[in-house]
Amino acid sequence: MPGKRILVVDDDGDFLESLQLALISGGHRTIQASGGREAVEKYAEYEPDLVLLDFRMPGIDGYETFLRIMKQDPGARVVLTSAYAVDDGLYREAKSRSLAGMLSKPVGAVELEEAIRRHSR
Amino acid sequence: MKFRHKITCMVAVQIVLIVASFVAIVHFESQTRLAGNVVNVAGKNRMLTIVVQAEAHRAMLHGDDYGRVLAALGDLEANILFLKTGGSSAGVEIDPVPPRFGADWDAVWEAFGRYSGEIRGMASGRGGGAAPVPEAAGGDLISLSDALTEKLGRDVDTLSSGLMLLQTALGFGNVAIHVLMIYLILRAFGRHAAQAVRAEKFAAVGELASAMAHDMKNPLGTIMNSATAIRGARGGGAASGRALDLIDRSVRRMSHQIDGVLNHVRDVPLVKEKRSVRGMLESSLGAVDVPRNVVVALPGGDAEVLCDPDKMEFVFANLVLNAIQAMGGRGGGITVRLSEGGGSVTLEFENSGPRIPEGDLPRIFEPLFTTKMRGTGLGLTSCRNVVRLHGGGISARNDPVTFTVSLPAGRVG
Repeated sequence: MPGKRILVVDDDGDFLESLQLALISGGHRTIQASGGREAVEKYAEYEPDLVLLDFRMPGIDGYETFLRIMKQDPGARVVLTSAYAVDDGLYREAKSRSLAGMLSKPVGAVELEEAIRRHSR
Repeated sequence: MKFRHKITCMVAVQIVLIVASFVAIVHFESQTRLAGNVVNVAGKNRMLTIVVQAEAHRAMLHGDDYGRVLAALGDLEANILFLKTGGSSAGVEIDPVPPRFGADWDAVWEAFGRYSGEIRGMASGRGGGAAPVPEAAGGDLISLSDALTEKLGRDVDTLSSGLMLLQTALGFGNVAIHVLMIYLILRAFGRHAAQAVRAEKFAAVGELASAMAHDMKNPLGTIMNSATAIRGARGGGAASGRALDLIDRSVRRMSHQIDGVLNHVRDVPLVKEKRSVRGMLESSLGAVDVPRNVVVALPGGDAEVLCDPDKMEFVFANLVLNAIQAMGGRGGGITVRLSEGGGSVTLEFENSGPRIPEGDLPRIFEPLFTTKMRGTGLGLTSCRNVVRLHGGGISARNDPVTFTVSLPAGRVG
């Protein structure tokens, strides 16, 4: 699989950095954002093939960020990542608004590559 | 049954018993009253016969006409017939004479026929001159009427005794049942209170555990990502590859434990996919450290279900882990069977471990119930929650120990 350009969004600095390293080792290029507002700006600037977006973040949360990105680009490919329980209603609503998928932390190398293969542009 | 339904049922049973007791007593009292009235009416035959006799004597002595005699005879006849037909007369209500006294009534009626014939003959002056008052026929009628009255009276006695017995029995019965109901209601309240306290404790523990579990997921993710990064960048030998495998497996095991807690939180959404059951079984074994002396036999066939694979793998891994722990260090075999039919996909996890004590069987899916030193008491409850979220069911049985997971095909997930 050719390397993809992936926007990684997470407020946990260690997790963000380690995920970037894992993606780079898999041959992908990464853009990082540590919050929702920054993610929306970076998306507009780089138009990545895939967004790995943390669900729970301070300020603009993952769901709001997802909505803003979709408003900007209805064809955006976004996968939510979460260590937390996500409200079922919210998840269904996100799916109805073309959320590509959801990954539960921690994500293994195989699942990560599989998600990129299935959900990226 | 829910606590509220249980109490409602108990109160309803009490109300039904009270109403049934009242209805039974009222019914028997009514029977006794009507039977008593029959005795009074039957007793009147004697008095009415004597009145006829007196009127006949008066008419004979004073040479009066026999109009008053015949009127008295008519009253006597009406009274005897009233016994046969029952009904209401002059404010008195009676049932007809019971069939078992039919022969006695017939004898009275026959005696009345003879007596009536002689009186009417006397009144019409048949036989020439003044005929004598029919003392013998009147006496017969009186004695036969008395015999009927006596029998009817004994019947009322029996009914009254039965009524007293019934009232006493219902009184004691009701007291006993009320005491029993109060005991059952208090016991139900006690259990409910204990359950409520337990549920509150469990909720508090669950909330804390859930928060801790969530907070551990990010660092675990960092460890796993780092291992992935090192694996991709490394030029090292087999040892470092093995070390990365161990990191990976350890993180998965920790994550598996955390999922056990998180699966209690029912708002975890199901991320559904169509997946091979066999594939999920194989993947779930990767998260379990299977000892060398344990042989796991997977099914030969396969089936596809629409489910959340992460959560279903959690269930499969937990059932295998549970079987391994139940076998202790002795080792043994775990056989997984797969079958499809009746709109369901059924998986049986059979193990050669010791049987589950019968008393524990109904409780093994309850939260915090564990017989293991290392168990959290959440594993099987989590399995049940996940399976139920998918619209399926899980059960356990002995001989051999088998856990059965049933998933509705076609609407799984």
